[in-house]
Amino acid sequence: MRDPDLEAQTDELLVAAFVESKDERALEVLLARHESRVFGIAYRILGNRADALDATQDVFLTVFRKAGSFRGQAAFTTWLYRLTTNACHDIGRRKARTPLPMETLPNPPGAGSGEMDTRLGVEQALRALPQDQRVAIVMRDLYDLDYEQIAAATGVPLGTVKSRIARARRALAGIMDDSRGMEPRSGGGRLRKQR
Amino acid sequence: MNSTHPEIETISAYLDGMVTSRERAQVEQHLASCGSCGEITRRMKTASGNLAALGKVQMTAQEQAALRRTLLGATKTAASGAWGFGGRPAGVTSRRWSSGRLQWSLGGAFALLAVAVVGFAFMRSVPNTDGGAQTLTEAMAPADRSAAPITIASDDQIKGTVLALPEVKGSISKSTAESGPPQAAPEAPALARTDASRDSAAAQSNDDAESFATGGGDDGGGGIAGGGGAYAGAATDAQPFTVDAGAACSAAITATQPDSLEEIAAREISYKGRQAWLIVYGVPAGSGGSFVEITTFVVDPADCANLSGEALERSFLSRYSFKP
Repeated sequence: MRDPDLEAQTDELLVAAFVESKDERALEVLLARHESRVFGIAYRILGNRADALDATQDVFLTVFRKAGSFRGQAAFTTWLYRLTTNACHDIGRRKARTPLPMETLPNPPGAGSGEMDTRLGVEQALRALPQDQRVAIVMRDLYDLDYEQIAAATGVPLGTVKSRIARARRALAGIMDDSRGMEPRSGGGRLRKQR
Repeated sequence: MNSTHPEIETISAYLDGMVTSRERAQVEQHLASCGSCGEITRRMKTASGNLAALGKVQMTAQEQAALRRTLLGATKTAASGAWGFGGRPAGVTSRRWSSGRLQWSLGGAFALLAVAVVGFAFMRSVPNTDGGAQTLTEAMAPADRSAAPITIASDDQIKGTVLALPEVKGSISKSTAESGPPQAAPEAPALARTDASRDSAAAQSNDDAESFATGGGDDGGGGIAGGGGAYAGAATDAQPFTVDAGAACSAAITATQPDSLEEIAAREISYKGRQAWLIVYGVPAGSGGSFVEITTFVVDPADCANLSGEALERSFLSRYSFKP
């Protein structure tokens, strides 16, 4: 049953309510509030629903199990995204297989249309990215996390996030490293002399 | 042309508004006079926009219900302090679908053994409507398992049936849903199954049906690794429906479809007098949880356990697409 009082609470207060009074309804609200986002991020990182569901289950199991260790020093969502990244990393590492290449799959309804071809092409290019770049670009372009949030979720410096997002976009855009006579490099963000 | 090119990282951060005002001014000044950097900026912006246009993938109602039942059941175990091995509460096991297929072989055997051992200790503390340990796969069972199966006597009932499903209604509530029969299609032949093989005469051409097709049988050499749970090795008539069979069907069909298709619903049905599963997929509109196209599959549960890939596709009793 919906509880308007609980639903009005912040994530952090809901965690506290569960830890202090074992109020399961607080967890229900947290789950309803965040499950789709966690699943969606995991889906785009892992590339299939089954693994994304596993990751989502793992994330919330950890939340429920370790709620007592959450001190509220950072936003609950920061912790949640960190758990999501870790769960995806663990699942990706455990799995020996690679995703089924798109070209071996039958065309879906609508394939051949420009819009669908673009979608399939983007999905395929996304899967081809290294996972660290895929995590960063999914969080940024699909889920609107800012660089600081992504850095906190992935445990890497801000400059690394910036570099990963740029590299991912360059790959998705099909831009060659030497398209301007430049060598690929990461970090810095400085203007560089033309050779 | 300016004497400097911005770094790719700087252009990317510029697109995100993550540069200082000084950097922004420098980039904009450069872009005003450098065609190659302007082209790179435009392409990166397009790539970013194309990615965003994929939209946020939503969980189906079935998946949400399953996750909720599993996780919230686990919290009771957690509250009682009775956690299973490896930090996972007793009774909560991971669905291990590989490429959409359930893996039940050795892992399943060990899991069953573990569940038996752990479940003995915790069976009283694991909440479950059925009174036993619940996996996520089990939790994926339709809530109305005891309800009578949907009956579809002819193909022209499929569209109306699908549109009436609560999950589908919710997905297309903002679109121009219409009810009515699908376009005319050849009658699906009943696939009389023998113990060893199918009636090869049941196979038929689908060349004339772009959006609606009925499938025939296929001997098919593929199979789900390790079998298919309750349907492992099933090759007989009148198999009882089980949760595993439904999950296996859903997973097996999902494995044959691109990830751009999202599963919306799955139902046990009676199709022309035979047991079957109706699996409903959608092509997402991009955002908002609506779908631009819906594809339905009717399949024999045993086929899901015994076939894979193209062989499974050829075995579909019906495949029908429509725009909601």
